[in-house]
Amino acid sequence: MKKMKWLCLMLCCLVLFTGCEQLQIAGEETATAPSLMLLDMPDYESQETAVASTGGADGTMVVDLWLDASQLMGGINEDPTSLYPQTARRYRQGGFHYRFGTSTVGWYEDVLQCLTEAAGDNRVRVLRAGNERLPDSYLEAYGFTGTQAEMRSYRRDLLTYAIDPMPSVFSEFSSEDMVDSFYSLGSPQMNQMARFAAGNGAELENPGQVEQMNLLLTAAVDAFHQKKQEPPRELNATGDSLESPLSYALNNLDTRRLSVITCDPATLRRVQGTTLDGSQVGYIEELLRQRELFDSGMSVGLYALQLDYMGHMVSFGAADFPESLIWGKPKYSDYEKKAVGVQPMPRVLLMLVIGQGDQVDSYTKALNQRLNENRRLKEMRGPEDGRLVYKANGETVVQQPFHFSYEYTVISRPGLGYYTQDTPGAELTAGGQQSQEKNCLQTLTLSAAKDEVLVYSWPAEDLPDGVQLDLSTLADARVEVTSSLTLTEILTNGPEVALPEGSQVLTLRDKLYCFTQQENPFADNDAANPFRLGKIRWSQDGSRLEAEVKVDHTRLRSGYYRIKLVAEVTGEQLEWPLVPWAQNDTGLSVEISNGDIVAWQTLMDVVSRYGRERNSIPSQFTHAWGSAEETTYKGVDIPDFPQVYKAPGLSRLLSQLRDAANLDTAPLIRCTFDVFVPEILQP
Amino acid sequence: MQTALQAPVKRRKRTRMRYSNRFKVLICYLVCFALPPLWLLACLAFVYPYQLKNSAPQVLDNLTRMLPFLKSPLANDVEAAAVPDGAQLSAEVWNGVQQAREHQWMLFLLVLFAAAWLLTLLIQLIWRFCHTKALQSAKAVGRAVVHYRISMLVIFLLNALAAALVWLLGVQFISGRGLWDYVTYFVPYFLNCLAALCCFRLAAPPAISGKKAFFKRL
Repeated sequence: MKKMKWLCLMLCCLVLFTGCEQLQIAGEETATAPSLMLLDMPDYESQETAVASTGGADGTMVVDLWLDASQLMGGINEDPTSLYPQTARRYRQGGFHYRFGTSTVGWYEDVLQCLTEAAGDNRVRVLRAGNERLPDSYLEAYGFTGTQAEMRSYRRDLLTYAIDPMPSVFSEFSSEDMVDSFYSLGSPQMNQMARFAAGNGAELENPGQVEQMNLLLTAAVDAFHQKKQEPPRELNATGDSLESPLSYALNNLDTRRLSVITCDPATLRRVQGTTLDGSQVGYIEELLRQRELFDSGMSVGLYALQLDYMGHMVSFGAADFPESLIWGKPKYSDYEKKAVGVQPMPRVLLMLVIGQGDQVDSYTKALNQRLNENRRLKEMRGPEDGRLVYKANGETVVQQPFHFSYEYTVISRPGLGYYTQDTPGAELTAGGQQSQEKNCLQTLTLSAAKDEVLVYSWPAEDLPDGVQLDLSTLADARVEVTSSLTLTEILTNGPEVALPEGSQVLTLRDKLYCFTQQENPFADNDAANPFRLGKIRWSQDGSRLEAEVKVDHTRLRSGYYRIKLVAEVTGEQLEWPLVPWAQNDTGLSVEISNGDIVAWQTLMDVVSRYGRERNSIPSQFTHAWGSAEETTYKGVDIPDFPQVYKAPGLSRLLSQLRDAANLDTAPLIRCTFDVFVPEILQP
Repeated sequence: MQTALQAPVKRRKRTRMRYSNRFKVLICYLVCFALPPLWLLACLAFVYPYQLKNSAPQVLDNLTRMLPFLKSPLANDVEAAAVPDGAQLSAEVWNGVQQAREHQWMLFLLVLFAAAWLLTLLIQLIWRFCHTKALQSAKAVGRAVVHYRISMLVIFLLNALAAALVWLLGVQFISGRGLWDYVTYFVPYFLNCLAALCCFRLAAPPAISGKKAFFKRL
């Protein structure tokens, strides 16, 4: 009976326990592996410094107007023995700055007005850059000593012609009395210290030294006017192959200001040379690099202005002539026996606008507006009725009236973009999986089950007009694992277990998972690196830059990898756009060969010799060597007249400006991100 | 008068215990009933950190699933031990979750065990104090044995229920559970039953115990 009771009781208990099945609840299983979320990957501290801003318009622009004061610019032939007439009634040789009577003035003066007007209310300083030089040694002799920058500053003061010029200042350049004019070599007008004496030079960069500067300039002018004596070589750059008013201005310009430099291209004797090892040297490029213009974020606006010219050209590029070339001349009336008008010819004047990008943009915009609106610049000028002809391509070219025109381009160091993890719109994906922001970086969680391709992409930054970036040959593109926090050891849990120093330990039940942080973990063993750089390319629609990183899953370890994408860009990746007006054969540029120079000089030697014998020159050579009807003169072939209506070396000058602006090496991509492998993989 | 007519009241005399016997009984109780909590505490202190660390289940979450009426009072604690949905899973969040889970699991184990232990002790002591009279000893022993068996059954069921709760609410969800889980979480309940059994059989009151009796006298 008792046993029966016990059996019943046990049965009841068992029945009760069967109720446990009904109590089965749907809870969550605990983790079978430690949560790697507990790992503490240090926050990323950005080491990339932002590229310095190249903007510089601070609203207080100061404009330096460097005016070419070469003799070519003024159409002056200072040789008193010249066979060509020096003067005429109501007219003096004026080059670009000719004047006939009271109202006919070269377009150049209108351009000068536009230049000052484009500066608006800003202060304009006019500086004279001619063939005179004021070397450091000369300045030091008068007590002007200091650093290179200080010497440049003194020189700028000494070359200052006027500050905030009135229109009459430019008119004075082309007055009838051309003796010792603005454009003559060693002109007394070099010394304008009298203008600044009132405030003891308060308007100059170095006030209080007007007296000394006056002394120096007076001495310099005197040196150029010594009777029966050539001007000192150190002060005179005429005929110097490497010196030109442009290079002088570039060498001395104030990089804190907007500088506008006018340049008669015929004064550019040599812009390029060859070293002993045969490599090409660009002199203008070298100068720009020395001055670090583009390095400091400056831009250069290059203008080519077609103006009217009338005067003597004693040289053209590297060619010096015993008798000057005559390009443009007054119109003589045989009946009245006097000049009754002018017959200017077209010539190209170059102009550089150098300053901070914003300043150059705003200035060129204002200048273009004024050039387009100027009433006088819309006139047609030139010889009528086929009066002036010249020989080109073996044929007679009859000069027709022409109009003012200009072309321009702006050269600046191309901002090719700088792509970092902080670039707005940057995305990190892998097979459609998006990254998350963690540890101050984009972090992508990867499965170690299969190979992946990570794609980091950025919105493409706008390139300068026409500049293209070739991504197929990027320099030094690579992917680096800068640090990692990965599973290195699994230890048995216990009270006296020795943990690796500096490791982070995750504990789960009886196991200690040790994660060790390493800097440059694959520096010595790149083969173990699971990350390889794939392609860097533009997206199909060109709107994004994409960088691929291939992941070899077999080399992955549990934990974090901090990865840095690096790519540099050099000038080789840049493709500059063609500037047709400067680089095409039919453009404004012309190259002068040594053969051309020899042919021209040979002819002019003969003309000079026989002309002096007769005390006059044949009528064919009174202007631009005349027509092509005769092919020889005194047994010497008559070559084409030099293409003085074009700009010698313009194409090379543009190339050098671009080369100087080009990048040596610049960072294109500096992007750091994290990859997280949450699965526990055997170390 | 009336008092004189009444039948004389039989006064039950308590069996006098010797002090040495009392001491032995006390020691028996102390040893038997101290062992289960000590076992649990020792396991939680010395075994858990090295064998079971970070394997605490979400016990309160499971409890509220079983007893939904506890949902609102325990909502905060349940939330603290749950992995936040969609939120940024940082190391701090994970640490907080794990600590909350561990804290809740320990508290659950201790409270449940303490309840089982106290009830076991209470039942045992009630039985003990119900069988201290020496009158009609043979009959009393018979009744004590019956009560003992019933008490032991209740104690067993009670501890089994507690152990079942531990299983249902926690241990069944521990991945990779092994010997140390069973030793830590279930052995104390077995020891509870054993302690009660020992005290029943070895520390019974003198009135029903003897040297060669069912209830042994220490």
